[in-house]
This record gives sequence, C-alpha cells and structure tokens, in this order.
Amino acid sequence: MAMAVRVLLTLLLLVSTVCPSFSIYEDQVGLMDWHQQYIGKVKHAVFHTHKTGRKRVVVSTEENVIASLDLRHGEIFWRQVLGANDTICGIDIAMGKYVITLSSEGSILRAWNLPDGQIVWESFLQGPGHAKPLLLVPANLKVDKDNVILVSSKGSMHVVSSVHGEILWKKDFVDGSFEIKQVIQPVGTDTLYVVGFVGSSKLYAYQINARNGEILKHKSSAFSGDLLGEVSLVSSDTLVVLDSTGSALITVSFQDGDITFHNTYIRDLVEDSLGSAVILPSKLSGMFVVKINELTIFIRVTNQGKLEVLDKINGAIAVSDALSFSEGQEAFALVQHVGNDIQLTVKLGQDWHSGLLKEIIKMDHQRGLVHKVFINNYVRTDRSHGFRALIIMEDHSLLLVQQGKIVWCREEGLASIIDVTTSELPVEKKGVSVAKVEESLFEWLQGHMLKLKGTLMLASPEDVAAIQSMRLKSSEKSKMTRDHNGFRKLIIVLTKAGKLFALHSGSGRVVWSLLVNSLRKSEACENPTGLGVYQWQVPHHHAMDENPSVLIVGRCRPSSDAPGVLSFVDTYTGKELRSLDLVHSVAHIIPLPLTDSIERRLYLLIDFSRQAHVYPRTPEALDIFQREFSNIYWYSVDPDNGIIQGHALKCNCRGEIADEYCFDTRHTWSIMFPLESERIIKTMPKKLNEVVHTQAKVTAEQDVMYKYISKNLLFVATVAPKASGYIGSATPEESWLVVYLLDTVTGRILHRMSHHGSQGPVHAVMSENWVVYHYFNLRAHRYEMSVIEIYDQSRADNKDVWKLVLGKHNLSSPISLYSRPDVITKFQSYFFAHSVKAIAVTTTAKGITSKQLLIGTIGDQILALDKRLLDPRRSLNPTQAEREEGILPLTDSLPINPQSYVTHALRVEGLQGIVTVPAKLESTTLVFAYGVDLFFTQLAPSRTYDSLTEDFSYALLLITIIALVAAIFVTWVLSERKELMDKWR
Amino acid sequence: MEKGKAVMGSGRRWAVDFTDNSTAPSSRDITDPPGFCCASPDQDDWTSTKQKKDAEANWKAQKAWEVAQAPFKNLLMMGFMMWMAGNTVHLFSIGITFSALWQPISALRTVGNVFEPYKDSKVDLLGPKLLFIALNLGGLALGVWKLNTLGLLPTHASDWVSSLPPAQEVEYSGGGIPLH
Repeated sequence: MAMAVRVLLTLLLLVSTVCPSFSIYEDQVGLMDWHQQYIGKVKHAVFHTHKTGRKRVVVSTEENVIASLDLRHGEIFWRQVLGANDTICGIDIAMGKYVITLSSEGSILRAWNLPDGQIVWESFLQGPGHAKPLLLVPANLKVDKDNVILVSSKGSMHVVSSVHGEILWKKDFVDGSFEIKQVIQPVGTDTLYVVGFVGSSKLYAYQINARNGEILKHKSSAFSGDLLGEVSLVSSDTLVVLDSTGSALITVSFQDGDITFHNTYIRDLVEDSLGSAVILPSKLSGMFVVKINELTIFIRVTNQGKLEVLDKINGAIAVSDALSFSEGQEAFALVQHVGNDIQLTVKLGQDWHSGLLKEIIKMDHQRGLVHKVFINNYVRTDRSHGFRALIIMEDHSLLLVQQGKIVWCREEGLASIIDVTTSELPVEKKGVSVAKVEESLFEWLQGHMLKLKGTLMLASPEDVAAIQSMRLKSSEKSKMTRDHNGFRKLIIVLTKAGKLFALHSGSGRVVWSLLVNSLRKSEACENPTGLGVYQWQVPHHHAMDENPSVLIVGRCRPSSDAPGVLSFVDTYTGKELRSLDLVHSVAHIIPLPLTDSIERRLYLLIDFSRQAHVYPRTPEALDIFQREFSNIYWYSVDPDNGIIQGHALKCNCRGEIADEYCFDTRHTWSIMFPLESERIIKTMPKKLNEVVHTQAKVTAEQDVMYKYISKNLLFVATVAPKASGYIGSATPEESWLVVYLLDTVTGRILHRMSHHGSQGPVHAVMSENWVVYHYFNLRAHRYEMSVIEIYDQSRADNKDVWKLVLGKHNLSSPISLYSRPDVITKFQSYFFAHSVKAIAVTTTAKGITSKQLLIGTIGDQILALDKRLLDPRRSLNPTQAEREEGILPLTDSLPINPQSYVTHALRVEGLQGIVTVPAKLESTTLVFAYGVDLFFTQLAPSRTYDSLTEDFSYALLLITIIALVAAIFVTWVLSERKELMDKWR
Repeated sequence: MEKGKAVMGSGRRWAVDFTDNSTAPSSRDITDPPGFCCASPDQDDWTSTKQKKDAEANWKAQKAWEVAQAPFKNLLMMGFMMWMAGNTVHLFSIGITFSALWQPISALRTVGNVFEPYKDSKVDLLGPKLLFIALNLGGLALGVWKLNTLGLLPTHASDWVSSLPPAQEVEYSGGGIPLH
C-alpha cells in the first residue's frame, strides 16, 4: 500500500514538472490570446475596381495607416502603419498599380505596390514655405513617356515620375508667402494652372507648361477685402472663396488669363442666414457646398458667375466627391439622416433633381452622425449602373453600403483607444446558463479520432487546423458569465470618438457598444473629448442583484478650463444610467480608497482653480469623506515650470453658491527644479489598486529586509534642458538624467540619483518597492534600464523571533508618512537592446506571484522580462545561498529570449499602452495591449502553479489511478494467499 | 519477524507445572511407600527450576538491553539516509525527515509495549527503558536538526514576518500632471 502511494506521488510530481515551458507551442496560439487588426478613422478612400483582379479600396486613416481592404468582406489585404508624426495628407492610385501617398506635410511621397503593399519608391520633397499640400495624379499627363504625379507642397510645385519617383522638375514660387490653393490640370492639355493667395487678399494665377515647368502666363489681382482660406473649385476656371467675415461668397474666374471677382452676399441667397458660413471641401462640377450652422446649402455657379441655390438641407449631411462613370457623366452621393436610419442619394452632377439612386439603410447599432462618404460605381448584369458607398460614421466605423444594405462594417473606433478598465461578468444563475450545442455521435467520434491522430503525430496540417478550431469552439472561454478563475472579464474601452465598447476577454468580440451622449457634439459642448473611464461601482456583496458601472469623465473643449462632463454606464447592459454636466473643470481625477454602502467608489475631482469636488454627491459619501478628510492630500506636477506641489484639503468652498461637496485646498509643499539645469520629462506614480502580499523581503541568509511599500511614492525624471530633444541632440557632457523618488504627502525626497551622459525619453514602471526605468546612455550609445529598490530601515530592528511570535511588534500598525523615514536604496543598471514604447508590470490578485515586466518594444511587440533580471542584488559571483534564493549572476546587458515575446509572431501596430489585470487565480494575470491593433493574452509569470494546464491529460491520470487501484487489489489478494500458505507450512 | 519475536521474547508460550508443592513430607497423611523418597528428586527439581528461572531472567534482561539498544542502529541508518538526502527540500528529503521524526515518536508512544515481554519481578527494566527513550529522543533530535537544516523550522524572524499583512498607511495622496 505504502509503495503504491509512493509511486502515485512520484507520478504526480513527474506530471507536474512536465509543463515547464513559459512560451507557448505553435498549436496553442489563439487559445488564450486574441489579436484584432484595425486601421483607424478613414480620411480618404480610393476604389480600385477593375474588371480583373480583386475589388479593393485603398484607404488612408487618421492613425497614419494605409490599407487595402477587400470590398467583398472588408478584410485587410495589406496594411502599412506610418510613424506617429508622418501624417498622411493625400492618397491616390497611379497607373493602376501603385498607391501614391503624400505625408509629413507634403514632404514625403511614397509609392506602394497595389497588390501586396510593398514600398516601391520614396521621394523627399522640399520647398521654401508652408502650405496645405496637394496631391494630384492626372490620368493621362505624360512627361517623357512617364506618367507623372503633381505635388504642391511647401510653396513649390513638384512633378514626380510615377515609375521611379524621380523629381522631373520643381518650381519654387519665389515669393515665400505664396500659398498654393489649387492646382488645375485641364484634361487633354499640357498646361497646369496654379492658383494661390499671397496674404489674404491677393490672388495669383500661373499657367505652367507641364513638361518643363516653364511659366507661360502669370496674372495677379487684388481683392478689395480679405479672403478666408477655404477654396472650392467649381470648374476648371472658376473658384469660390469666402470673404473673411463669412457673409459673402466671391466667385473668382480666371478665364483667358484675366482674373475677375464676383461678389454675392449670402443673405441674398438665403433669407434666414444667421451666423458665419463655411465652405465644405468638395470636388463637384459646377456647384459647391456651404454650411451655415446646421444648414447645408448647395449652390450652383452659372456660366456668368451667378450663384443659384439648388437645395437647402437641415441636419448632418455628408457629400462625396464627383465620380465620373460613363461618357462624361458625373455622379455624387449625399448621405443624410432619416430618423435612426440613413438615406443614401446618388445624383447626377449636371442635374440636381435627377436621383440616380435613393436608398434607406437600416442602422443596426447606434453609430452617430455620418461624417464622410466615398462612392464607386459598378455595372450590373443588365448594363445599368449601380453604386456602392463607403460611409464613415461619427464613431469612426466604416460601412460599405450596396443595394440598400450594409455589406460589411468595421469598428474602426477601436483603433484609437483613450482609456481602458475592466468589469466582471454576471454571476451564473440557475437557468441562465448557455445551452450547449448538441453534437452527433459521429462528430464526437471524429473529433476524438482527430485528437488521437494529433497525439500520435499523424495529423496533417488540415487536421491540426481542425483540432485547433475544435479546441477553440469547445472551450468555455467565451461564455457570458463569471468563471471560477476570473479569466472571463469585460474589457471596457473608451475611444477617441466618444464611444464605449465592452469587449469579451475570451474572444475579443464586442459585447455592447455605446456612443456616450455627453461626449457628443452639442450646443452646450461644442468639441467634447473623453479623458478616462474609471470603475464606479463594483458590487461584491450584492453581486447578484446590483450591476457594476463605470464612470466616464470628459471635457467640453480641449482647453484645460473647459467644464467637465460625467457619465455613468451600466457594464452589463451597456446603457447610460445618467450623466452630469459639471460646472467646474477637471484637472485631476483621484479615486479614493473609500467606498459607500452600495460599494460605489468615492472620487475627488480637482478643478483648475484647485478646488476639490467629491463624487458621488450623496450625504453618505460626504460623511465617509469627512471622516478621512484630514488624511487626504493631492499633488500637482507642472512640467513647464518645473514645479511639483503638494496640497491638502482646507474647508468648504467660499463661493457665491454654497456647495457642501466642494472643498478649498491649501498648498503644503513644493519642489522647484532649476529650469536652467533640470526639466521634468517623466513622472510615474504607483498604481493605487496594487496588492502587496508581504512587506518583508527574505534574503538568502534568512535575513529580513523591510520593503518601503508606501503607495504615495512618485518617480520623477528630469533631464538637462539641452538634452530634452531627440537622441543625439546633445553631447554626453551637456546631458544628464536625474531621477527622484518623492513622498507625495510630505514632499520629502527619498532618493535622488543622476546618470551623467544620459537622456530621455524615459519610460518607467513602479510596483511594490521598486521602480524600473529605461533611458538612453549617450556615452555607451545604448539604451539602459535601471532598477531602484527602496527599503525601510526604521523597521529593520524587528528581528527578535520571540517578539514576533508573541506579537510584540509594530509591523502591522498603521504608519504615518510624517514619521521620520529611514530608507536605504539599492540600484543597478543594465544595457538593453531595444528602444521602448511602453512598460507595464504584471499584477496578480494577492501579489504573491513573482513579477514580470512587459516591455512594448519599438517593433510593436511585447516582451516579458523577469523581474529577477532587474534585481539590484545581482553580483558577478553570487554565493550558493544567493543562487538558491534565485539571484542571477550579473551581466552587463539584459538577455532577450525570443521565446519570451508575449505577442509571439504578432505585432500590435501603433502600440500605445499595456494594461494588466489580475485574474482570480493567483498565478495568472490578464494582459491587454492596445494601439491601432488590440491584443489580449493570459500570463503566468511563475507558471500556473495553482492549476493544471489546459493540456493536462486527465485520461492519463484516471488510467494511472485505475491501474494503481487494480494493482493494490491484486497484490493484496496475492499477499493474503501467500500468508495462508505460510500458515499451513 | 513479528512471530519470531513473540516466540523468543516470552521464552515459552505456556507451561504445566507437574510438581506438587503442597505434598510436603511433614504434612502428608499417607506415608510414603517403602523405598520411596520424595525429598531428593523434589529438591533437585526445585534447584533446577530456580536455575532455569535465573537463566530466563538473565536472558530477559539481556534481551531488554538489546531491544533498548536497537534504536541506535536505526539512528546510524537514519543519519546515513539524511546525509544522502542532501539539504535541499524535495520529496525524498522531506520523506526521510518525516520518517526520522515519526519513528522515534511512535517508538516513544509504545515504550510500555516494547518492554512488556521482558517484564519480570527480577528484571530491572528502568535502565533499558531509559536508554531506549534516550536513543529515540536522540533520533527525534536528529530529525528536528534535519528539519532545521532544510529550513523548515520557523526559527528566523523572516518566518514570522512574511505572513504579516503590510501596514496600513494613514495618509492618502493622488494627482499628477493635469489632464490635457
């Protein structure tokens, strides 16, 4: 019996050590993780729908992405993400095979291969001035047999060969203040017209030979008043401009080299025109669009330069550019709102009253107003013309509409996430569980055969794929209820468009989405922006009957003194519970460690006049807040002036209106950095919701070091003003990096350290009692990572075992930061090969599991780096005891193991942030990374020591147990028999 | 082993005493038949029994001392095993350490039973018992020492501190760079 138990134990031990690999196997990809690709809000789209080949649309977006999308399903054929500063300003297709993009304010022109997105050539354009760049790809203008691309940027005109990107000729307009507004290339001629302004009233028109850039004609004329910038071209020789008061439209015709102005007052066209008008950018022939407040007016320009109102449409509207489809016929699309749905109208350019198409499109989700529309035509089987439209909505979603239906839709809002929080899923109640999909016996058998094949390594690649999809389907990870391990959660993200999405952590699908009303444009709030999303109510005690909710904080204008808006959203239903328009601004949002009786968290909102406002505005919350009143502080960092200030709460606000939820604050301390030598470039506070398991760090010699685990710790990095630019802008002698650890309650500097010859950018992460930061070392020409660990010496004398046994110590009693701190720090630096976009640290439920740093590399991947590698106690030759403790021998650089990339082969394009959330299972942490793409995975920094891995063979365990029981039984019978025989002997 | 011990330990399982001690010549009513002398064989028998009993007591005492010394061998064996097991915590070393702890404890609990067969009015069992207890205590000490070398005894401050929750902070502060 004892033998059997021992065998079983040994077997269990063996089984538990079989799964040591941290990285995952190829067939495990997609089991725990998901990856979603987005492109962002589309700015411009060009269709490519020739009869041969796949129909596609090439788009450029506000996230600086160029993508080719499949018109059938909306999938991405290819995608190129440009840098954050490389804003795309124009896109077109040349010669039917190259995608031409103009970016970086018209200074970089690139050609991409249309089928696969490879870069073909790149040209740098330079010019003397600044102007809105224009890209023009004429269909059949040839210079020396080369198709050319016309680019006007920075006050000069470039003609570039579309085959190899060579600049054929360049025309600098001598007057630097000449601002090119339009470049016109009449079809079938070799001449170009370049029209622009000098100053605000002088109009210049050049006629240029397209072959060599020679100026054929040059005319200028001054307008008696001032002109506004926006120009609309209505025909090849007529422009429409607004005057600076916005009350008159000026028709400019430059026929035959003469420039004539024709002034028309808007009030003559529209009787009830109030407010200033704006010309909408449009490319329609013979007409233009003016917007006055909510009213959109279509105006035709007659041959005599007379203006004639075609139509007035109230409400939000989007107009496409003109599309020429057959024999010189032109069409344009118009999208307007009809109730909750949208109406797409396609009209002939020449005749306003002709409607080629009129469709009502049902909107299944709330998507807000229509922002842009692009149209394309196709020939139906009966040779009539059909139209499809690409519509961009207020929530940045991209819809393809054809035959009155939404063919596909992409939630591009998710490409620009502002803030992330998580929420629990509903508790599983009886009768609510999702019914399992029935499967036939044959399928069941087939599945098991496949699995058997897989284990015997006989499976073909198709079989492997089938096994994979079966695993994905059968897993419980996408259920809509809370699971025991806490792996299933709702990820609540707030996007730049003001839309809130709830993503299921199991599969990444959108559970619900809400266009937050208070973050939409309205009369009271003309340009609202979202600031963040916070957990508002997290019910634990009433988890069955209360729904959790989140708080969304926004601001009416981008300026700092704008009034704030709050919105509360139920995370189960996705409905807005209520919203508040604040009278004060929002400068800081401080979640307090206090909750009221229904588990709502208390928040302190600090406005720009440094008054603190308590939320929720209930007497109970106020009462709870008053009890902790004297212990609540806040600090503000002013990087421009190099000042960090601490504040305490004083008394109720003394304003005209008595507000008991408003408090004045008083200034308690300030730290001023000398601006001539130090400039704040990074501050990093500690995560307020982090759980620390123990305050003691046990060293190899059973010695105890007490961690300094105060939550009110702030890491500040300053650099020399000269070195605050890009890397290499300062010599090592004149650049330094100084790091500080501050106590934000008392303003005490706990630690100060300077790195000479180093500079930013600094990325930092702080957890428990350590901070890790990343910077550039100019002397070594390499990136470095440093770690600082901070220990509390004032508790170090708590070393008497008997006192501890009897509980005669002060280690658990509350501590005040006003007591004299006595800290020591340990630090070490290492070289690190990568430059970094973001650093995060894994967080677990109880803080027992060891930590990993998650480093978002410049290649948009996430690298998991063990914290043990950044341990300041590492030495060249650690003693045996230290080795046993897990201290690694010191190396000058941090090793990068290719297997420790969390994102394995994927890239999170445009990586912006990494969020870690603890699962209920202590060993596991959930990681969500966002940028243009989204990525989610589970990590177990110390491996899953508290659960069996997914590939654990329960069958093997069962068989072993059965075999052992049988063996025990047999040996028992045998031994009985033998004993009996012995007795008879 | 168990059976053999029992046989050896008691010496005999049972005995029938055929001698009749009550038939002393003085108290006899019936005279002995002529030529019968009972005295000499009686005397002889008595002396031999006494001798036998002495031998048995000696033997018992000897056995008791042997039993008392048995843990010593065990101790050596354990020591060797412990040395083999090494100082790192794993299944083998923990198993050995716990068996090293368990054996003396179980032996100490059954001290009475172990010396039961050698109970005799003539045999002084105190010495062997004390030795037995001492040796087992030695074994126990060895086990505890091993436990300590494995680092499983809470003799350091670190063992008591790690389980303490971190101290609460009185003050609370938040803020940062103003949102923009």
